[in-house]
Amino acid sequence: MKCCKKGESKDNMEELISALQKKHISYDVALRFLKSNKLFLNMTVSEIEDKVFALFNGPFLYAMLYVNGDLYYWTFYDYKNKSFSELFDCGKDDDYIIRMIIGGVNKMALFTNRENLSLQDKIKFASCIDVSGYNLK
Amino acid sequence: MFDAEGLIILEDFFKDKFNYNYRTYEDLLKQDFIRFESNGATAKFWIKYEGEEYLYKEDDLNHVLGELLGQKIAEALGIPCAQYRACTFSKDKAQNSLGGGVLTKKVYYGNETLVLGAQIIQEAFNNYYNGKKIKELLQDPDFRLLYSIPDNLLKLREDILLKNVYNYFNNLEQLWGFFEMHFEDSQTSYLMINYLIEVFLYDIFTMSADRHLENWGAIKSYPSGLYRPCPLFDNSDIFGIYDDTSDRIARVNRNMPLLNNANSISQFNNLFYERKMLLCSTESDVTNVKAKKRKTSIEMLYNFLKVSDSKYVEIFFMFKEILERMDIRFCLAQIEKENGIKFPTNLKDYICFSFNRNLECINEMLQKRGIER
Repeated sequence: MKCCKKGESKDNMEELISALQKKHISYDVALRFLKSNKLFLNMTVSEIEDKVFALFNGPFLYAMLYVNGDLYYWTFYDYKNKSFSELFDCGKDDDYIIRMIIGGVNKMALFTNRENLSLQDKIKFASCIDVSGYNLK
Repeated sequence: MFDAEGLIILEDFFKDKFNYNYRTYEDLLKQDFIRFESNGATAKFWIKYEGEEYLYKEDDLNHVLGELLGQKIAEALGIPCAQYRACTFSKDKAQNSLGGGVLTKKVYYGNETLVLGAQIIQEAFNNYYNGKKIKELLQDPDFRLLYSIPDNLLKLREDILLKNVYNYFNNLEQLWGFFEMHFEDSQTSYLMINYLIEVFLYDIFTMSADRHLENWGAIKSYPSGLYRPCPLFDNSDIFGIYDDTSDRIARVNRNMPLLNNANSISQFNNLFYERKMLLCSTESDVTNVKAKKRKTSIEMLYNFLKVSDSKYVEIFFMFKEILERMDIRFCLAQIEKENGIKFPTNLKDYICFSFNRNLECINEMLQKRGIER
């Protein structure tokens, strides 16, 4: 799960936060997200734009997804403790809500003849997706 | 949209209200008044109209009747329910008397969101056992005891266990525990369990077999963060109405003579209750986790009455009394009139028979077990 290409300069924290804010994440939550895992701290702005998606239920953040090709990882947001969980892996772990939204993305890709794209690309075309109020940004 | 009686024809509605001529499904999805819905096998899209949203689900006539009748029964019992109307996409289908599907009015408002039962359970794992994954938690006997999780669940292969584990968190005893973990105040937990008990009793009386974790939930307001129970929705699988309904009707009719012989009634009941309820009362309602076997709704009801507070037993008797007075055939005629649709006679006869037969079975159980009001 290496994110930065060799020799690529790291964008500064404020730029990363700003990229996350475009996904409807508040400044504080964006900062907590970046600090929750080294993987995220080492990301570039373009990686945040292309590979990181926020999963909301209405206005409430449920989890952050990191999608690379067809693989995906997620971290939950805990409102009570204002913290993110460890990173979960689609190959080893399971989550009902994540599974449901990924199922929705695949269904939408099928209806719009994009079923051959990678999951990462399918999500880009599913920015308007809504699965019983759950949505991706 | 639901004001006038009659079948709603979506093509005409789009033309009339949005000056839009339907071309293709893909083109329709690009329109501002449409929002794609990805959940469920039959849901297609939401229509935004006059500040409300309406979900179009493409479904067969049996399920259309299931939804419409499900709403009528819920209303009779005083249980809040989503509003449904029969619709069809084009005029051609209307001429053939095919419903095409149903429209559902959204059950929550702009400053609210629906938290599915699945999320309530998932978040109990995510937030309260941080660092421990489901498979680790299931190995913990204290955790299993806390949520009445049967030990034999562990006999499942790990990948099957992970994909299906949520199917087993669906009995009232467990869910009360999950509510107490999820909701910050005990009043909301109490409100939610009362709601789910009414849903459970509704499922008993309607032989509903599809109350999975995406078919109930709580509505959360923002910014207050307060919850209220979600009105009932997705009730199309009632009275054994499911994909192959014509086959079921034929089998029930063929086996009807079994009811004339006291020795073969149980044989008939095995067929009559072949589709089991998903929302259970107690852990013991799931008799074989591996084979996904469950007790019949009548046995589940007995378990429920045996362990429940008198308040809930009274709600059960109240519901029974209301439904015993309900004229189901009149109700079906009313649905046909309101929705401008004719349902096949054999389907209506089957529904009337099932509704009454289920009440008979409930009464027989009460008599046999000596349960009185």
